[in-house]
Amino acid sequence: MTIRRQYQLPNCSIILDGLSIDPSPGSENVMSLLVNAECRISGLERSLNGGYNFFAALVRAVSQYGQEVLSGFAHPQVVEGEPLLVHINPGDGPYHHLVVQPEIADLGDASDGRAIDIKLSAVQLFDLTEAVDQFFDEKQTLPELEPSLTPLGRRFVRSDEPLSDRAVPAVLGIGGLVAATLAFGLLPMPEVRDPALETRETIESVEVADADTDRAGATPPTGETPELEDSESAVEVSEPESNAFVTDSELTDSELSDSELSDGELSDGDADESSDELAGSDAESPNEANSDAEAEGDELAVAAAGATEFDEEPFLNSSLQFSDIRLLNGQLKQTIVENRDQPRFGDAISYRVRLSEEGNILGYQPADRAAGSAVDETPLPELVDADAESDNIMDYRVVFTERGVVEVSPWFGWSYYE
Amino acid sequence: MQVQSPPNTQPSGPKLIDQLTVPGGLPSECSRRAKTQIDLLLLAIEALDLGGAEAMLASAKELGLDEVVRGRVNLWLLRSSNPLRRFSQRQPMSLEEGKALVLITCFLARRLTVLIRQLLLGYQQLSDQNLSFDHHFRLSDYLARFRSHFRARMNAKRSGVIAYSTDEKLNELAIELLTKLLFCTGTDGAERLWISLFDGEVS
Repeated sequence: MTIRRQYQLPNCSIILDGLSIDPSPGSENVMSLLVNAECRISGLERSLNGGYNFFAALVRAVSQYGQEVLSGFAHPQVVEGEPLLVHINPGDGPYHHLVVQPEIADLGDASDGRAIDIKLSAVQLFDLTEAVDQFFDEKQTLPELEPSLTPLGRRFVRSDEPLSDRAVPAVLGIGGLVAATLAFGLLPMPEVRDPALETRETIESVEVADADTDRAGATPPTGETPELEDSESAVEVSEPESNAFVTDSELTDSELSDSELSDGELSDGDADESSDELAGSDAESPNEANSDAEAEGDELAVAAAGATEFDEEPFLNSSLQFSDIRLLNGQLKQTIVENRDQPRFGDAISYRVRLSEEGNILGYQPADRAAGSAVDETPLPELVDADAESDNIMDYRVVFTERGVVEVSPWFGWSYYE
Repeated sequence: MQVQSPPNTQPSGPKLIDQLTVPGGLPSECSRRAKTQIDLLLLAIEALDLGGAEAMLASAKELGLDEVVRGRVNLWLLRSSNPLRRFSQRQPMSLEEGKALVLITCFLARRLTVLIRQLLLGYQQLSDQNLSFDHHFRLSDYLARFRSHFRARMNAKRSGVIAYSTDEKLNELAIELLTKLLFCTGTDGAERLWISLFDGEVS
């Protein structure tokens, strides 16, 4: 029995002519043998005609390409190993190309041996797909042809990005790591500083510490160094001298500043010391006796090293009023706080700072080696007024505590003046 | 008549949602690409139809999917699982939820078939004659609306969104989505769309 099935859509129609060869009841309407398949596409003068092979290849290609349109991934349009008789390629803009090999289908008499290339718009392609889907849905026609709608396996999907683009992040990452490694290699090895060792060192060898910190310390405190009075230029020469010269009071001083004595104890020690000094000042105290050499040395130091550290002994001023001392104390603290960039954290460091009566900072001396090396973290170097001179001077103790607080107190303690 | 047994509260036939097959080897939830695709298609529907967002809720009820898509907030949360979204929710989308959204998309696309075909024909004619989209009022209207929806809701810092930074790129995307919507209107549209969401996801 001859059967004709038609699938009509606005831009495309498929007409199948075939036979039913199974006479059993219920299946006499099933088209199981295809004689001719005709595919008409609007805008195309002639229709595409072919047999079963053409039709089977067409429905497979159309069905698979429909999935390609939806997902954007190319689907295989033929079973592996079989020749590609019908396939659809994406074209420019809204177009797709239906390519049919001439051996399985013809466009009437127009065949010239080349593949037939039909340009389909999106709507035409959809109508063709819809005709094919309607054919698939109708189980009465060629039931052995089934849509194979399955998701594409991973191996068929290549990434949208080309390999070069995908490699960029990896290359950047590795490059960054290499660059960071090189940069770390260039950094100097950090010095390991053992605080315990350091304090012991300072206490045991104050001479060395002094020589290190007082780079510009060209102030031979006594007249026992005649050769320095001659040499006005040699800073180096002065260093061994200051090395050689270590008074007891300096030693005590460092010890005092390092060891955390309470105020009372401190003032005791201070009192002893000051009495020594007072006694000495009668018979040409070292300070005064050496004032000429000192002045020269100071100038030299400022000119040569640009620093105004000094290593004179603590000066005990008893002529100032307690209120003035307190005023100067507050003033100094204020000046330091206002001039620092930001609070300094870390180990506490302390300095002896010499003020003139007017409040100018005449100089400072680090109390220990740590303070000496950290002096650039404090505003002290910038605050020193090198030109200021004063007869009436006052020493203060300035401590930059580990929590970033600046503490100022008279060098010999408050209790001495009270 | 005596009744021997309580009335049979039989669910009304096979559920629509079960018509979509779940092929073997599928992951247990929708992939990033699936979530993005679904949301973009719904965005295109909103650009086609001003009342699109309301229509989605209404069609969920109509299709008997209101157990899966439970109201406005739930729909918003589902759509916000699109990773390109400005307020992306980073929550998984179950297969059931994915199916429901696919069915809603296809249902709405089918209602808009005429418009979709008109716009695609218009696009084809304009590109044949190298004319700008402004010559087709309805098409340029759709494109403009899609662009503004996209820019308002997508996170411009995501690389997937940066790729669509120009009007031309967004127009291309809008046309591409329109073509996909056309394929959703077909007999097997829902099945095709559903299966296509898992391309490249199965081993």
